[in-house]
Amino acid sequence: MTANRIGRRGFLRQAGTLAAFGLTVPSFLQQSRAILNAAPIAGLPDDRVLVLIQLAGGNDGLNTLVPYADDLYHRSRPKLAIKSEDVLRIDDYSGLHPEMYALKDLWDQGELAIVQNVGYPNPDRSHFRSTEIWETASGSQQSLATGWIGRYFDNACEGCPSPLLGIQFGERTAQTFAGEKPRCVTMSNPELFGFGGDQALSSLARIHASQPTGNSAFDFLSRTGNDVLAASRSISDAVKSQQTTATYLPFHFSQTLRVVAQMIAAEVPTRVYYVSLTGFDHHATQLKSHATLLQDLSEGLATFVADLKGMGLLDRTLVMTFSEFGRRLAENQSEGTDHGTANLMFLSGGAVKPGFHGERPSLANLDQVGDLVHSIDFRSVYASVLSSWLRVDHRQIMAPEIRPLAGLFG
Amino acid sequence: MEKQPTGRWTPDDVRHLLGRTGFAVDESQIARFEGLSRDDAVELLLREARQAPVPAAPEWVKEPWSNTERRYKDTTSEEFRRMHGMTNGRYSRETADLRRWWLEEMIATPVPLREIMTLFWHGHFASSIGKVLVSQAMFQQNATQRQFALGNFRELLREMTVDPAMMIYLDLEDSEGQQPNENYARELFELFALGHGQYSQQDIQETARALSGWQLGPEPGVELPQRETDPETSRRFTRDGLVPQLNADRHDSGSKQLFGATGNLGLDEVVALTAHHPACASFLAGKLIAFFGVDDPNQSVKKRMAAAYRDTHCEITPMLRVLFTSDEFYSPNSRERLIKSPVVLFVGACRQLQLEVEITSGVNRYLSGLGQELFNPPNVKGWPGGETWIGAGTLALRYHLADVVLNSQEPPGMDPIGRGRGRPIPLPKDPAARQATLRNLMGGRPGGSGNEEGGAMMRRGQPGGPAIQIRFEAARLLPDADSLPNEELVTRLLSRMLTISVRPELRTAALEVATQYTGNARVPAIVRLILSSPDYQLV
Repeated sequence: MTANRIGRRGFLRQAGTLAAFGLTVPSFLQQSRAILNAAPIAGLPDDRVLVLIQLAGGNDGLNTLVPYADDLYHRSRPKLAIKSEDVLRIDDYSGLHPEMYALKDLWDQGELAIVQNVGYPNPDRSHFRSTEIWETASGSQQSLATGWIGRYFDNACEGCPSPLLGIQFGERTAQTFAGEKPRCVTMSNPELFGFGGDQALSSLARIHASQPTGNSAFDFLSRTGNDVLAASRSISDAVKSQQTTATYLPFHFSQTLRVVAQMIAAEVPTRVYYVSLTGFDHHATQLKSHATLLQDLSEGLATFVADLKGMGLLDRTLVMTFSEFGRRLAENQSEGTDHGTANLMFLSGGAVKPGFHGERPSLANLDQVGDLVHSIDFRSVYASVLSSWLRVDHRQIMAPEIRPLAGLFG
Repeated sequence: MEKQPTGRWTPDDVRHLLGRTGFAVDESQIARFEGLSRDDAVELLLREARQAPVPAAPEWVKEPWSNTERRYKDTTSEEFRRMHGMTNGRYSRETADLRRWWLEEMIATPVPLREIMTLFWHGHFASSIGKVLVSQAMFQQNATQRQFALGNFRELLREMTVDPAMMIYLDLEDSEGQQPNENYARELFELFALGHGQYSQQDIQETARALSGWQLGPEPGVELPQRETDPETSRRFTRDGLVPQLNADRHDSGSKQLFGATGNLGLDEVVALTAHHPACASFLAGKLIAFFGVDDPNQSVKKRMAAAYRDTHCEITPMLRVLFTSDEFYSPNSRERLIKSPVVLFVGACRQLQLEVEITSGVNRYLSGLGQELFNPPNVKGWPGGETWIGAGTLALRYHLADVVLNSQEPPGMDPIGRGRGRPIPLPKDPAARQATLRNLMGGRPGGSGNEEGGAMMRRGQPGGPAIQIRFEAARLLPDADSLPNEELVTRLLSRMLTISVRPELRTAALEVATQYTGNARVPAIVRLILSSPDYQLV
């Protein structure tokens, strides 16, 4: 533990200062302390963290991990193909987009896993629907109201009282977190929990009853209000004073990951973080804007991983990217690409086994529309994450016939 | 109909009734209802809700609607891109305006029950702009739901089944006889009319066949250009209108069986068989009972409501009459424990505090953050409501309501991190050039790093006008506020803002706040505390 880390004890101390506001130590605080004191996340067997990164809009996987040695690639994309000599080569068939040098370094250091050709049967090419499929882990002919992490929270985290079990950065809660009970806090930034000065906090603490009133709705609100107060300031203070060990780009995505790193370091009792990078829906003139996004992704991810590693937190953090679909092999008439099917996923940290997982997609063997035919079902990646990383029975959370992807974790 | 007992009708009952059937209790309304019996009060409420004038449509609504991104075989991709881009932009502006239009109606209407019921149907027959995309279709659906809000359910069900937004949302417009799409048929039974377990997969399939062939087309008499369409083009770009019509070529006219009826069943038969299905009456009654937060321990209200529905051939108002006049509605277990939806919370505050409100994008962002963005329900089930409105994040955001309505500010925590420089720009690969670019981004400060800047970037900054434009004036709320002693001021504000009884702890805290502030600051400080209380979340 480095000197400037606040960590759980510091977090607790700050939560404890709330006691000064009450006339007596309210019982909510004792409860909150119990929540925060128990190592590592009360009610969970370990302190592992999952960071989900959504590449919204459908990332062009074929210009991300470029099959530069495949003629079909160059022939299908006369205007959009990345030149072979520019590709950051991984092997004699494929390599990363030239702007992804930071991620290439991560690969060279053995910190990056790439799952290739991930999708699902009967792919849907609507953003709305395919996002829903990825978020709920449903089949494409099936509609589920709950998200895969929401079901994980409902099934495996019932004994965990943390009000911050999931944290989503953004404006809308992703369906990934939809469950029976809301266990996820959605915020654009941690100042959500700031309530002005001590006096304001003191008044708020005062109107939150510590004794049950018999009105179940009121008691529920009062309890949740106590959670808010316990989380209040402690989070934003922890985040403000928590140093990081790396320099992040000033853009939204990287800065959000910086806050996530701070929160992980401050041992905020959160199991799953969710961050989005948007703008991947490139139907036209995609070369430049896609390159910029890939650079943002690559820099953000690589800095985040390096930061966590520097703070000794990478062992307990798994980062995983996903996107609702990849894009069609053939470019369209507008120097862009249309909605496709199979795609790749990046994973880093945790106990993930670095390197390639799964077969590369065949560019010769396309479906009727001209899209890649997936070979790995994304739900088998989720199943691996659930069983190997979060250590729960994936069959309680997803269709039982889904098998974990073998060898994803070492 | 048998008269309900009216003996225990008290002023608190009036507050309870008006609180649940409106957005917030309005003192002038209480005076109108207090002198009436319970039955007469409910009658007045229902009559006014049925007779309220219809608000004028937003100005961008066009009759007939035309598809401004219609794609033909000979449309050049350049022209298509232009039309598509412009249409997308217009749809998103119109959707924002549609939200403004409805919220303004809710804030201004003297007859809130009709809007409350429209909100109920919006969640019941849920469709999302996220999939529908066509703003005018969402308006049309809302207008229909308002028209039938206290009308006849069978008629509403028919309208909703071939409602353009619904047909797009649940894929009915893509359903044809050869391979009927079951999406709508399933939700019709499960979510709209009967409830899970009241029908079989066979019923769904037969219904899907009966409803096959309905499509959206042009108004009769509209001349369509003689241009060919590529059959691969997606529906969005080939629709020529929003008028439901049965295309006989795509309809399965064979014999079907549903709920004991056999024959060439079609839309009207499916609607009638469903609305008159024995499960429909109690399913609807149950949803209304839950929506209005009534405790019905032995299902007696539900049974009476269902009977009223059946006796009147699917009328909605008689069900509401039973509900609002029932003793259960006024029982202790039905009171003070309904969690306000975000829309009711916000609209209620606007009405109670007599705010001057402009509905801006920031208001929508706030409601969306609280979990209820209008015209964008989370899924076809609508908003589950109740305790699901509340988590640590959404409650924290609710506790910032005072920032929005008193200070005209977006609450903290709404700004994306890195705003202003949120969108990435390409960076040179060369390390020195890269450093220079980053330095420039940081405003040329030497040694500035992303990290130091991060904190500053979390601060609010509003490009393009204020996100919230709300004016609160204590003098409008209480003209004699300055002369009121603390006790009296607190009592008046609590009674004006809370429908539920005042908890001593809240009163003590409010009094303490009153002593901490003087002059103009006193009223806002007390109001702020009440808005940030668990009590204020309840009605």
